[in-house]
Amino acid sequence: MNGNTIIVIELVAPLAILIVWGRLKIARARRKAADVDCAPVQPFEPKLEPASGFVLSSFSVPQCTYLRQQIALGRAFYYIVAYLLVVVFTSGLLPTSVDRYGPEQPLAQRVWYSYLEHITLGELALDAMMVMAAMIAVYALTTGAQASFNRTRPLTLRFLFWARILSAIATILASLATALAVSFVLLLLFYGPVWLHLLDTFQPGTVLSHRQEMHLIQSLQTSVPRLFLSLATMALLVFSAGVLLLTLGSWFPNKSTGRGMAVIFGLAGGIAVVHLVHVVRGPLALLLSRVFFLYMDLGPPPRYGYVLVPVLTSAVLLFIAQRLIRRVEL
Amino acid sequence: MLPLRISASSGVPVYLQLEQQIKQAIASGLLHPGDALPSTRRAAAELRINPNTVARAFQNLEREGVIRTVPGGGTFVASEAALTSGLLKAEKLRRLRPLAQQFAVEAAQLRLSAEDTHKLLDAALEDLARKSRVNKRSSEESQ
Amino acid sequence: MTNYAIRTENLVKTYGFGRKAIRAVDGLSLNVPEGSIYGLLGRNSAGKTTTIRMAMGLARPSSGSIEVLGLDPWPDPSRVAMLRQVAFVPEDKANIGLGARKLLELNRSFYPDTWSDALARKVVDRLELPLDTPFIKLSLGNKTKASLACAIAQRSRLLILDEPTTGLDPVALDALLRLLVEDCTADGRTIFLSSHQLAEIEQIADYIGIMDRGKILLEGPLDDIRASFRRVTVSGENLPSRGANILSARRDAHATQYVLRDAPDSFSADLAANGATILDSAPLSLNEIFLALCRKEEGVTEEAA
Repeated sequence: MNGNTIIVIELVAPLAILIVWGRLKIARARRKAADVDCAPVQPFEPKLEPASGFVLSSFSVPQCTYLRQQIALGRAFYYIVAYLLVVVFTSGLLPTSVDRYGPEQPLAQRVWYSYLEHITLGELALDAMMVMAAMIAVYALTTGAQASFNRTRPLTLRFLFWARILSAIATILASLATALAVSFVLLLLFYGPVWLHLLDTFQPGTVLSHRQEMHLIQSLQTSVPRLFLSLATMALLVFSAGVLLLTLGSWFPNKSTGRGMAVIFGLAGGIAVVHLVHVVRGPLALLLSRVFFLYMDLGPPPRYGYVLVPVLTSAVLLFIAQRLIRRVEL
Repeated sequence: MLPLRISASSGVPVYLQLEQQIKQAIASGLLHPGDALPSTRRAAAELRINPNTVARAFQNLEREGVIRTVPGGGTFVASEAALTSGLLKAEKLRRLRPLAQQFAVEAAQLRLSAEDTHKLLDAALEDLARKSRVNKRSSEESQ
Repeated sequence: MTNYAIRTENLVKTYGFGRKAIRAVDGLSLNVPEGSIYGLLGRNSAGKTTTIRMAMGLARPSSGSIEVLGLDPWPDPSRVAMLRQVAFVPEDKANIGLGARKLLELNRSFYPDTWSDALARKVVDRLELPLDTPFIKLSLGNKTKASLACAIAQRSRLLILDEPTTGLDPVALDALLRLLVEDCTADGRTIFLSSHQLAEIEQIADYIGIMDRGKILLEGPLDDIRASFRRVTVSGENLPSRGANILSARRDAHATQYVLRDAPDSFSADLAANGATILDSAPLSLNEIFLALCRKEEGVTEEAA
């Protein structure tokens, strides 16, 4: 079975299941409604509010309500994003990916390399999702009925912004962590702790092809914790940049043109950066990728200290976006 | 409920319509002296008009002595005595004079003869008296 | 010293730049007294919704000032203080995609100080709002009813309604008028509504403002306005066709029909003193006043053959 077919099935199957399950639910509800036959509608008697926990009780009631909304939204997205990321990160464990470069290398080396490589490739999928997340986050604050509703409730724009953005970030990080953990567990289940057995069958004096050599060196050099960490910081950076660009775009009198331009500009910028770091690999590119903790290829990792750079940059970008969102008119 | 029919778009101010119709109801016996009137709010809600308008009409009627409000709350049609003898004849004439002049002007504009104008007035008075008799009879029967 | 629920002074809102700039609101001076029911009337692109959006802090004035309950509705701390006391039914009844019951439950938790469950039940009952129909299946009228229920049950100091009659059948409309009068005017609360339905506004409003092309043409207590407009039919020689308070003059074969906007009695008296005969003098409905004013603005004067 082709690796790509498996991925397609993994993506389509849950959707199909959801549709079928949804239809069944509707049919059951319809049957129940027909049975009861014009049952009297329950009058409007809302339940008492559930007592808020320690954290929520420091907010006012309207603020709590909005927070609950954002958390509920985040929870729904968490499942979707986590699942998609699991599909992406485990694509390296499929037999077709493992065997991609031929069976000459020992299994452990092949599996480990394939797993890591697909995770770095998965960064692109992750970044695309971050752009979408930024769009969803900003949209409800600047356009349409949802924004009109939010901005006519007694909540400051600052609160509206941070509650939504921080909840989005929490969702992103949680789903990323979950997906990475799940992919790692699956690796252990199917192949065992391969990184410990990379040099098991290595005999001194064996002649390796150049590619084998490169793969082995890269596999040995890669620091998995920093790789995972870099995914998180990169996601954060792309999300923050997306939010800022889209907020700037919403400032335009014609919001769809403004935002369209922002997306194109952002994508162009993003592609330029990726091209610079990945393909060109000049000294400037290397410096950038070290400083911004962009760990996009297998090989020597950047130092832990640089984690602060993208995190602080993201924070600055978001603060600017928050000041700007106050001026966006509906 | 009060037999009132208010038309917002007729051009006549609503408070005036309200005052006139209440007075007419009293005159034709639909409302008896001492009857309770609904509160401003309830009357406004039932008629679908602004409560301030109802309040204004009630205030005017109270000033003229047609209705009275009790300190504890509640509006009532003035007593028989208050309605009839509360005002001196001179005062009554003074009140009605502008209406009579208006009536005369309108009749003149339409070139109605003086005789026809008098006939009109007599017919209206008779009509009112007849309604009053009917109402009195029906209220006696129901008791 | 009257308090004003909404007050604007030379309010201007411009969209676009340079030659393509449109002045949606062009020097608007609006005064809504507290405790009144104020009806804002105007044609479709008169600028009513833009004004309301500025009052709700959704758009920022280009110049001039606007105050809602004495507070500036754009910058944040006063905006939130204002929003706590204002209930809003927007022109677009999209209702964020929730069914009526969920929408009511959501809205309830944003206004814990003033919300009334009993009033919510009353509105649902009177308007016959289906609580559990999913949003996609709701008709436009039901969406409007859901919006209205949320706003009325808020029991706020100021109720702003932008086209609250969209999609409502006559029964629902009547029920709405009754609810507005019964439950939204006690304790000096204000209702501000913008609508095309002149008949309904004429019934419950005590103040009106007529708006056209971003400006106020006429504003004031409805009774006063009704008293100062009259249609007078006059026959005679050398009758004037223009004047300070002549809104329109139409000449027929035998008579001239004037629509007067001010002091009609003195005008009639003047003409009568100069030998003209007043054939008829009738009041105008709000609809007729509105049409006469808007037609004058467009420069349409009727001169019959």
